[in-house]
Amino acid sequence: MAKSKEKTTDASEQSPASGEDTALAMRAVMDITGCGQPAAKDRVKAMEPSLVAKIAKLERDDKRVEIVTLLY
Amino acid sequence: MGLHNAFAVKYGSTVVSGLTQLDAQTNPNVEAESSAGTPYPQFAVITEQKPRVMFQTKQVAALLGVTGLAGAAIDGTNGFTAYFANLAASGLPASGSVHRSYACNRGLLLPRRLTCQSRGNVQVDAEALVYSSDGAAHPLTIADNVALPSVVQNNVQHTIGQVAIGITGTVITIPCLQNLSIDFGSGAETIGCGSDLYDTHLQLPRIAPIITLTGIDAAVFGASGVPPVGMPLAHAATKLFLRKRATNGIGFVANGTAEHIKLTANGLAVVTSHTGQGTARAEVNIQITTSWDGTNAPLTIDTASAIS
Repeated sequence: MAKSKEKTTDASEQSPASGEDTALAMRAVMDITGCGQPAAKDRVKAMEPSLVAKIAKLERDDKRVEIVTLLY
Repeated sequence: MGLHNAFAVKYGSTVVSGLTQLDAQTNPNVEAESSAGTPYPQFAVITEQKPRVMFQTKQVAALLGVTGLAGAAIDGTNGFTAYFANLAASGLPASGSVHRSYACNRGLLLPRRLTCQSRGNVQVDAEALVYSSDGAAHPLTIADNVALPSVVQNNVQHTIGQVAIGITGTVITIPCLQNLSIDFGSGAETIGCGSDLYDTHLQLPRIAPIITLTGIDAAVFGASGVPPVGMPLAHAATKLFLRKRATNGIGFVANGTAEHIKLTANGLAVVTSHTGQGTARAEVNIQITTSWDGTNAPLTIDTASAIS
């Protein structure tokens, strides 16, 4: 299980952030922090593409709790 | 002679029009103390000014998109400006760069209250709390030679939509809603140091939104609704939709189109009263006190959501 998770993370890190991933990451940032779109956009823009992809994947998998640990 | 009308506000490049009120305040504290010898004050002094710009708008999606729940930082990148239009002899805004603005680049733009009645349009009261760079420079810069921003047509309006509260497995749909209001509960305030006239810092010690729902169906209170003891709420099952009207004024945007406003909340709901006045329909008031669920903000705001 742990091995599979690690593999997924590696795969995410190799992919650049797509528009969809960016939108998902922004949604997560807005819901978790309560900020608006400009602040979320700035925060996601400042992230490494691999982190954006990782957050997007967690958002798709409905794992917000794990996103929190990445944001703070 | 300068006769002006309230016009619009701008945050960064986002123009928010549809204003129903615009109020730029210096908010001073003036003291005039009498002391022994004469009943007249011998010294009047301004000890502080806490300028702020307050406004009401019906362009709710534009505003909440910018502020979210917690507010948007006003800084050198995203400044805040309030515009008053200089009026020509015709009574309409004069042409050219002859208008009044109040600009600031330090502070926080935040929503204060959202209100809507059944069949009415959602309105938000918002406020820009501003502060100084050094305690000596006034936080608001006044200019009388600015051009007005292009106004966004005020035809993007929302009204009350479907509202459901509860937790997964126990969801109550609130029928026949008459009023919805949200106190965003921001405790943001500016603070000063060393007897400076103007504040130089901002603190945000608390954000505790409270939602009030008023309906006329008593079924929402009791065994099949919110029990007298109250009920817990979770984001997954507590959804308040603000339905977007069609921009041509005929009906609404389709539910499946992601242009509505969706609010979700975590916390608890309690019925505070079942009140009847005269022969009018009695109303049930539900108060939702929001709280953090360990992951999401107590109240989440999505300004581009489908209704589902």
